[in-house]
Amino acid sequence: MDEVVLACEGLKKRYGDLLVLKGIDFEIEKGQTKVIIGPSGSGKSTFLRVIGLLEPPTEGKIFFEGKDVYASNMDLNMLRAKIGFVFQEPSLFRHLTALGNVKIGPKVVLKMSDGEAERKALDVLRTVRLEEWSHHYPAQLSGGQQQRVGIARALAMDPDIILFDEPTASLDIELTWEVIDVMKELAKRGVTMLVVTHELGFAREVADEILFMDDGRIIESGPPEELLRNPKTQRAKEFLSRLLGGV
Amino acid sequence: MFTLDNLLFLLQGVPNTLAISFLSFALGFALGIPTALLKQLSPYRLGIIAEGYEKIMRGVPVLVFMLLFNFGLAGIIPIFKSAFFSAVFALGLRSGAFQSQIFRGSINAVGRDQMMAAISLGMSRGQAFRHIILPQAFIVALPGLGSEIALLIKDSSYAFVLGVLELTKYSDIVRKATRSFIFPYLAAALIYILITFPIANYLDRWGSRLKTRYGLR
Amino acid sequence: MSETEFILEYWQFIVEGFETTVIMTFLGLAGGFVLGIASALGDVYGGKLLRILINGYVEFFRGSPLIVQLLFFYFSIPAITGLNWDAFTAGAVTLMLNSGAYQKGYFKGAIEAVFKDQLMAAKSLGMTFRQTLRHIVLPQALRIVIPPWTNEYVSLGLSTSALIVLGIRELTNISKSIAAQTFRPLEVYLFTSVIYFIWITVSLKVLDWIYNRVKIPGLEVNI
Repeated sequence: MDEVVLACEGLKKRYGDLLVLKGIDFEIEKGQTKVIIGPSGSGKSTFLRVIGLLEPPTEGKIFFEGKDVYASNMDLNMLRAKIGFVFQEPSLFRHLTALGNVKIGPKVVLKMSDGEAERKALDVLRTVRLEEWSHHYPAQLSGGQQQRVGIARALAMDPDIILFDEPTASLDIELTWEVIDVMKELAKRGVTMLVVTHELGFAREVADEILFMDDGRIIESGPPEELLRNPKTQRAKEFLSRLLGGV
Repeated sequence: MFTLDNLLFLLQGVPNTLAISFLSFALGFALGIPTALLKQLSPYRLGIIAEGYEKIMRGVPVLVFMLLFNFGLAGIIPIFKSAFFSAVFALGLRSGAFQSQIFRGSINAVGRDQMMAAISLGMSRGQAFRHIILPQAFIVALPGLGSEIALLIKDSSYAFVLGVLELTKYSDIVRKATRSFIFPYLAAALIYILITFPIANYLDRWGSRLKTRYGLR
Repeated sequence: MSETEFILEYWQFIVEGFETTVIMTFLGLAGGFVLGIASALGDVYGGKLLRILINGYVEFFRGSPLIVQLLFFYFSIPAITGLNWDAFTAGAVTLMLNSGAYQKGYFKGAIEAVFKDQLMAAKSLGMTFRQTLRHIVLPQALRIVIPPWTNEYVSLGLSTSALIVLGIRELTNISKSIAAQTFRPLEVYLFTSVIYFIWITVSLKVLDWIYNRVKIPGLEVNI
């Protein structure tokens, strides 16, 4: 059994009076691609942000490579560097070119030299097929291009896992393909990925497991062929029939 | 009669006017950014200091501070015996409060998503501010800073009351000497307009250009 | 002498100075209000010549210092027109002109903020221009304008200290005299600062209260 990269136990998250995550147990192993689906408001994005260490949990533990993340001696910034995050809105740094955006993490956080960081950045931009656009500013790029730069920015940190929060939700259909293609390539290359998305085609092709989330909990999980064709729980059945019926 | 010689004499006040304006702007800049950050980043108690500072500087005329420094503190701290220094210091203190507001507004305009993206890469908040938030905030702040400089150039005229030899004082001297009641002050007014207009305008347009280039609205 | 005795002795002068300051502030604001609205309306709806004149007026008063304006008008109006006027009148008029130039900017922004959205709707209902102005534009504009107008109140209130150059006995001038007479500049100016600060703070609270009673959700535009 391969090592577990990221895991959580009894994860809960509360905002004010609202309990959004109601106790989640989860783990993902190296090289796996897992996809989370579910209705909006189910807490998928919140789950990703909490397990991605962008927001602290209210209760429960998170383990990165077996170690308790919120134990006292852990350097959260370094852990965040190792957990890549791709946002729904690309959130590129507007004052930097595409190259600048991808370079800055390695330079400032990983303390690489300017030359090394630049080489790394160009390399990664090549992976997402945006090398020619490296000197453009985000304002000059399409939504799909921006999102690919976002992926490149996360990749440049050589993360142990990349989390994707509905990366194509804000894109037009044509632009969605370019991003999904890049994600498929990454999955096939063995990058560990945890993806929240509605793109079931992607899930079917590359996911090792699909998890269905509803009302702050993981209700059902299983390999794509099983879960998508034969959902066991009522909620999953309803959700999938609505989702697939519309396609 | 007001002659060309008088005009040239008047212009001798301009260097001091500009000096007061830019020095106080620099002081305000040096005070404004830390104060803005103090309010953003700090726990409750320290933020109150920043807020108090802003409220006081906005609630008292700058001339009163100038007088307070030049006459009140002169006995205690010798540097305040200089009217020039007192004027610059008073204007600079006030500018710090104003610029702090400008920067806070522009930092907020940059957006929380930028901060989240930065920490997702593993940057500490400090690094995020330094490399991501502040550079963008500065661009957004440019028009505001432009009007602040214009304000300082105009309010440098308060130094006249302390006797500093800036443009307004010179125009007063010329009026007394030539007994021409219309032109000295009018010329001074026009000179002030000629100085403030391009500066504020330029910063405003530079800010707009940069904002469009970077998609910062 | 002790602090309290000192304050009591000069109390009357301080009150006079404060009264003058407040009166000047209100005169300037009121006159500026009329000039400001008129200029804004003229700029938005007027012909080219009117707009040039108005913008010239605004640029002059916004681009030059109040002190220079005060000196200029005080000395030059008698010279030009032969009419003599006293410092108080000259000061008040100049303040009105100055404030009007700044208020014009706020009113214009407010009118334009309302105008874009609502003109079409009013037109579709068959309202005339005047009706639109009276029932739709002004009620909204006057509310939108309160926050920046509050700033003008504060700004004008503090700039009354510039009246010192005309010898007007406003608060700063009075305190300068007292400081000179008592040889205690530090205390006097600190005390003056406190008076201004309290005045402004209380005024702001009152204005905030008014704004909160009058405001309508969704009608807070940033000018």
